[in-house]
Amino acid sequence: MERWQLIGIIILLYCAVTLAIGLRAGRRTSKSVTGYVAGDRRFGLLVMYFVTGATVFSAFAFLGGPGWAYSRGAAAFYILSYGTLGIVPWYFIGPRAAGIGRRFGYVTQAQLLTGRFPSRFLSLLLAALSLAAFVPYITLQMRGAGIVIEAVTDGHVSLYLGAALAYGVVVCYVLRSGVAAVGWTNTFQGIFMVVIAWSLGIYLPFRLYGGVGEMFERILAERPEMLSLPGLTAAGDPWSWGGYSSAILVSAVGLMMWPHLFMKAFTARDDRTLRHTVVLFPTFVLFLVPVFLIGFAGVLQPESPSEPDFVLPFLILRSDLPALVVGLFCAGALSASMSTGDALLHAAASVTVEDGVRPFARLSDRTQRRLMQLLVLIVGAAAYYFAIDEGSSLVVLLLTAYGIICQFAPPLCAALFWRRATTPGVISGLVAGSLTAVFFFTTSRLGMELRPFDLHEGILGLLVHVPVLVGVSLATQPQDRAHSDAFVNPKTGE
Amino acid sequence: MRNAPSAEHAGTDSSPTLGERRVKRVRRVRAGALAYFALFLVFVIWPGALLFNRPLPLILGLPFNMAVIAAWVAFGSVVLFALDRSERRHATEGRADDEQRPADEPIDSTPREVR
Repeated sequence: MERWQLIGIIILLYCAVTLAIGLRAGRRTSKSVTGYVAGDRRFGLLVMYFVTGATVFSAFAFLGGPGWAYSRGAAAFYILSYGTLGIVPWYFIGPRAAGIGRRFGYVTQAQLLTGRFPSRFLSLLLAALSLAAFVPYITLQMRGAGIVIEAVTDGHVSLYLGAALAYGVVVCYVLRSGVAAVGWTNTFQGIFMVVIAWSLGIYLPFRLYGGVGEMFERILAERPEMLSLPGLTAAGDPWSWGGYSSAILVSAVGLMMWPHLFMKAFTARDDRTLRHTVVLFPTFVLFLVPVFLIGFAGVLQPESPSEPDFVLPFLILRSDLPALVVGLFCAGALSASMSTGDALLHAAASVTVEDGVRPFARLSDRTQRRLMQLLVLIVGAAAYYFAIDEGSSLVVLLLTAYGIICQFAPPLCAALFWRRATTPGVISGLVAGSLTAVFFFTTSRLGMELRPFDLHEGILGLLVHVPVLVGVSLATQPQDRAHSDAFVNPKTGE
Repeated sequence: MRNAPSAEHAGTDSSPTLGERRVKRVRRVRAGALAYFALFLVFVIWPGALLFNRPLPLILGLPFNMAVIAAWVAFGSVVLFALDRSERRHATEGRADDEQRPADEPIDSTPREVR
């Protein structure tokens, strides 16, 4: 049997196990919308830990992380910095959102926001912004899966077929079992990607340089600029401190604002589970250390991959590793891609129906569930179309996704902590912040650098967003005290 | 913390009651945890990051700046664990007090000062 065939069999086995776990997961959940979207609010600590970790760390972390370390050196450390900072507010916000969700039956972030700030326009706006951020994100995960499969099978399985295989499995289990499948497959995939990352992250520096310390000593002697913050830009020039620092800030603010992550608050069994997930999350973040080691291992190699993001498969294929190890690595990369892709696909469908359609039409529970399943198929097909379209410029859209998503943070804080916030205030803030972010992003893409200190457009958006939210709220009629108390002071506002 | 110090209020002397001491302890732990993460943020972005921005000495084989960030992350779990333990004890003790004195106003363990 040829080497690529053996690797192919390992990939097929991995996909079969994932599919089996995903299909079995839905057997115990109800057929209701809460069952499909929030897993009947029954996720325990093990599943919550992995669902959060594996969903946060996508193909971007597994393939892009080494790519950043390889091409931009210390700039990659920003990814290590923001994860923990981003999840700490969740220790307080998560249980509160979950409690309100249980009380009012919310299963999405927009339902929580429009519960406090009643507005169908706001609901539609949040659904549209989420979908605009989700589709390119899913596309990238699909491409990541396809690229890895194509690379490790020496091109015998094309990118198209690889992406179709991996995401065919994802669509099957998300269709059938909803978030329960996302939870249990992510547990399996999370364990897989962490084990693979640590094994390869330690193994490759030893194999190529004789040790981790030896590797960094050589990099320091030959490419010292790689080990000094804030690292390099994609073009190889020194990155600015403004760019580096604001990337950490915007990612930390935006991290848990991604609807597919936020919605998981409604899946937890209880507040204690949510808090423990936050306590343990930094241990998952540390998996980036070996991920970076893999990237640094490629820095002094004589040959270079066609793109920085391919550094991991590139090194794997040049290290003469046994086919079994290459197959397992590929499964690890697929885990990273699929564990984020499934959550995104599920959230895209849920958010579109719950926030984009339901405020405008009366639907039975059964119809909602059917509509969500139909949307899983539609969104999956659209993302696949973009994934195989070489000329697609969707990546550009993804680059600014964080700039938009972090604009969800002020409305959420206002909903849960500020009694005086009003619906017009929140809508004007959101529109002003998002437009500012898009404006600075577009002008910078067109070559007009208007951003002061190279700050991320998301931060500039927030600088406009917060004053507008506060100003318009104070200038408009305050909400009824009993209504705002149900959110700001849930214990006594009942 | 509108209603926090009220639970053990029945005492008439001026020395702090058990409930007040407990609330103070919880507040201290919360403030400590928030201070830790505020410092974490300050030291990983400009200008705080300048203080440890050097590759040597290598720590466990890692460049000094990377090891420092990893240490902030790892210790973050310990700080969150301490915070969670203190919050849980506060909630449990508060519940026990409520059961003993049903007429008392319940101690609200929901943190308010986080923005």
